[in-house]
Amino acid sequence: MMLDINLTPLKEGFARYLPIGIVVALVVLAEMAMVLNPTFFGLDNFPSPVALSATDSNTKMLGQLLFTEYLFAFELAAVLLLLSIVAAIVLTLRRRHQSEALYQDVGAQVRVQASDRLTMVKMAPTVKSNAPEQGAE
Amino acid sequence: MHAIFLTILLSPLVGAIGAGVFGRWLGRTGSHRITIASVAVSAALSAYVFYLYVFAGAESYNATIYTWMISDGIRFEAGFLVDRLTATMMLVVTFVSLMVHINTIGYMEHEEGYERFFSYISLFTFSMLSLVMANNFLQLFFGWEAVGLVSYLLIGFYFKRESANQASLKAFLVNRVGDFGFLLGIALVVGYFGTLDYAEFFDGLAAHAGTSVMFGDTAIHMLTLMTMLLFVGAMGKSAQMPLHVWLPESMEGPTPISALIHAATMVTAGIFMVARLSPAYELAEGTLTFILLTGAFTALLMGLLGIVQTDIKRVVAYSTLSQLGYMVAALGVSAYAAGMFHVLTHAFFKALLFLAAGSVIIAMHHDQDIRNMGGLAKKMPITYAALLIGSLALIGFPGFSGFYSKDGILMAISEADSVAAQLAFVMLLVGVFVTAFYSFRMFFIVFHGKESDYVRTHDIHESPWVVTLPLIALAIPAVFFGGLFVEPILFGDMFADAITVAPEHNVLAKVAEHGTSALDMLLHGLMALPTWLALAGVALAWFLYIKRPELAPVLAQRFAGVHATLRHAYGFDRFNDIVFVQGTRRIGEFCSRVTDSKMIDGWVVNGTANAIAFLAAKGRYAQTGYLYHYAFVMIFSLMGLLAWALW
Amino acid sequence: MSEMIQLSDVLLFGAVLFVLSLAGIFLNRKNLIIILMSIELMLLAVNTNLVAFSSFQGNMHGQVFVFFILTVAAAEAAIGLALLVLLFRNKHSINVDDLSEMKG
Repeated sequence: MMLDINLTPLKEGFARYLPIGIVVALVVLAEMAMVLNPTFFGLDNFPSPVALSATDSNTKMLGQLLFTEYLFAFELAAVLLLLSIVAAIVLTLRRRHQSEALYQDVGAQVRVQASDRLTMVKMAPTVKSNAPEQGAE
Repeated sequence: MHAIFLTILLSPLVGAIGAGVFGRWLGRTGSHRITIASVAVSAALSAYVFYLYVFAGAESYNATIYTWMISDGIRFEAGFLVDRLTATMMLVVTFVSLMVHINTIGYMEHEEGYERFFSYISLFTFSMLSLVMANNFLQLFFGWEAVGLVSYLLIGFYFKRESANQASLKAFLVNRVGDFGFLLGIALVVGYFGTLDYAEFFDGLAAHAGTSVMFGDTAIHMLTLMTMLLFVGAMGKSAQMPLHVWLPESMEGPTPISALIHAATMVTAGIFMVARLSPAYELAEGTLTFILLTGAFTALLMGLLGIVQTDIKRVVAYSTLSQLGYMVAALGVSAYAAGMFHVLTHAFFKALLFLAAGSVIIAMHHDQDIRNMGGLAKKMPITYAALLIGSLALIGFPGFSGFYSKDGILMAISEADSVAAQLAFVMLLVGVFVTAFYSFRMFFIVFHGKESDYVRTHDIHESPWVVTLPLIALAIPAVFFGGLFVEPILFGDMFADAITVAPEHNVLAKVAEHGTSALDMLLHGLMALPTWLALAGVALAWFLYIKRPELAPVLAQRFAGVHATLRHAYGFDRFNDIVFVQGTRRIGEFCSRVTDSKMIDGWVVNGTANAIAFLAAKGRYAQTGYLYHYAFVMIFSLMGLLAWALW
Repeated sequence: MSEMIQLSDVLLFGAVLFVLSLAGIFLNRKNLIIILMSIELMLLAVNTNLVAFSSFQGNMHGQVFVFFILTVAAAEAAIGLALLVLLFRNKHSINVDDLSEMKG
């Protein structure tokens, strides 16, 4: 799970508010049902839609509308989505410090030469105790 | 003509601005020169206009000089209506104002705010002139409010003194009550006549003689209501009961303005207004009766208060109230000419009295308590003579100005045959006696009697010429004006073009049957009751304060209750304080504590916040944040919605 | 004629699908994956209805729409799952109860 959270405190009070929640939900549903019942919205008032012919499809009609009448709004919606993508990235992007081990500099990886990685050093076999002076060249 | 009127009106304004704005640079002398010069120009031109109208018989002038705006067909304008009534008022206003300006140089010599004071009195002159020269209600109202404003400024002239501030506030507030009525009256005029212009208003009167205003189911005669409201304004301005309370307090201001504003001119604005609108008042019987009784009550009750006053200015102030009562009572019997005549003579002798009192106050180093005076007669002969002439004119001593005007009023009221008029007549007769008594009480205490410690120990001398010159200048009309003008004003046609009297109301015509010349009136007066009552009042004052001075305190003790009532001015102030001041304060407190803090702040402002916080606190439980709760809600809602739709 | 498929039969079938997914959400209140799946199922239930009506009314447009719905559903599902992966990487759980950061 992306969010590492303790779920227990988030569920407290659930049982306590369950009865009243159900009552409120039922009351609202009943009230809505009083309006949205077949007496007002039945087939007498709203007959079934005419079936589309074989050559027509819903998607096609939708596409036609979107790319003609609503073209400007459609483009705006696209920009809006782009905006939200950028916004979400900007908000959640986490910059880590250079010192952190996991940080990876792709540019440096590409530029790197073999010689940068490994240097061959010729050195005399160690015989004397003052070897370090010699090894410095 | 137009240019002359404009100069008369605006010249004092120029002076006021000069002294008010540039007083700092002009200095004291410069300030009084510019204001006196500007008022002198006004006075001289007014005298010329007076000559033109009264002696040369010029046609009355009525023209608009400036239109402020026109709104819904109602024109707001400034304009002049000058006829003989206006010309006379203009002369009196500018003349008295000029005298007061000159007198002020002496009275205010050592006072701060000298330039400000001159600016104010010139501004007042401008306001008063715009009031009397108005040819429409708007300008009348402008002048009306402007004189009120200047009066407020001048009563509170010594703004560092607590009592002066209180007094100016009181005057302003009480006047506001009256002005509110006045404004409502003007609103009725605009509402029913659709004009602010006097002439158009008068033309429309006949059409509205029977119009009623409906308050719910009660019909009120529109003209009665309108004139009554306008008269409420006059009650405030002319200090009729119960809106008189501000006038005695107004004596907090410097004496010259008491002479100008609170005696000679501004307080007569109400009487002038009623006389000017006499065509409307003639059609409102109810208002006339109300005016008559208001005047009579004011005349008697305020006169009585003068008896117990110890402040020299307050005595004169109460006599002003009482005299205003006489004028108003005259209006109440349609004797507008008699009322206006008394306004004119009163302006002269009352200004004279006030300025003379001011002269005494200057000599006493600004002490106003008559108990500290006494025996001043020899030290200040000119002031003594001036005050004597003023008092004689005030009590209506035969031959003096006041005699003709007051006798004219009394005879006019005695000829009116309503019950109210008879009652008013009796009260006014008693008033004559009271007037004589308190006037000469003050006169005897100040000038005769024994010298008080203060007078003995201080150097008291006559005031400088700037004070005494206006006294002399005012004393002349105070003596002669009445005799010269009684025939044309009361019985002639001097005011005929300005005042309308319905034939059935014309009491002055009946008075005329007794003879129309000054001599006739003098002879009739010598044998009539008022003169003897006045003399009896003088005699009683002489007896109580010169002959047997020890009796007065005894009588005050004997009639302690009456004395206390009078001292407290019938408790008007207490009543106003308890009912209006404290009542308003309580309402204010209630509003602040309960309405504002609790209701507005508590319920509305914070309450809203609290309610939202409460709802939010409850509501947040709905927002649990659990996805399945929202899902539950959605599913249950779907269930519910379906059930509801199918039901 | 009664043995013929009526429109109401197809609609009722859609309703049953719908109610099932409803119950799925209702009962699995913890597992995000199941919730995602239930939601997809709901969408499909609706698609059924569209196709049914399209067919019974002789109108191709309904079916064109089914296309688009599917496109969107695909995009949605891609991103939804990407999100789920991300979620798991970060929380190490896909329990709905653990997704309560937004709660005040």
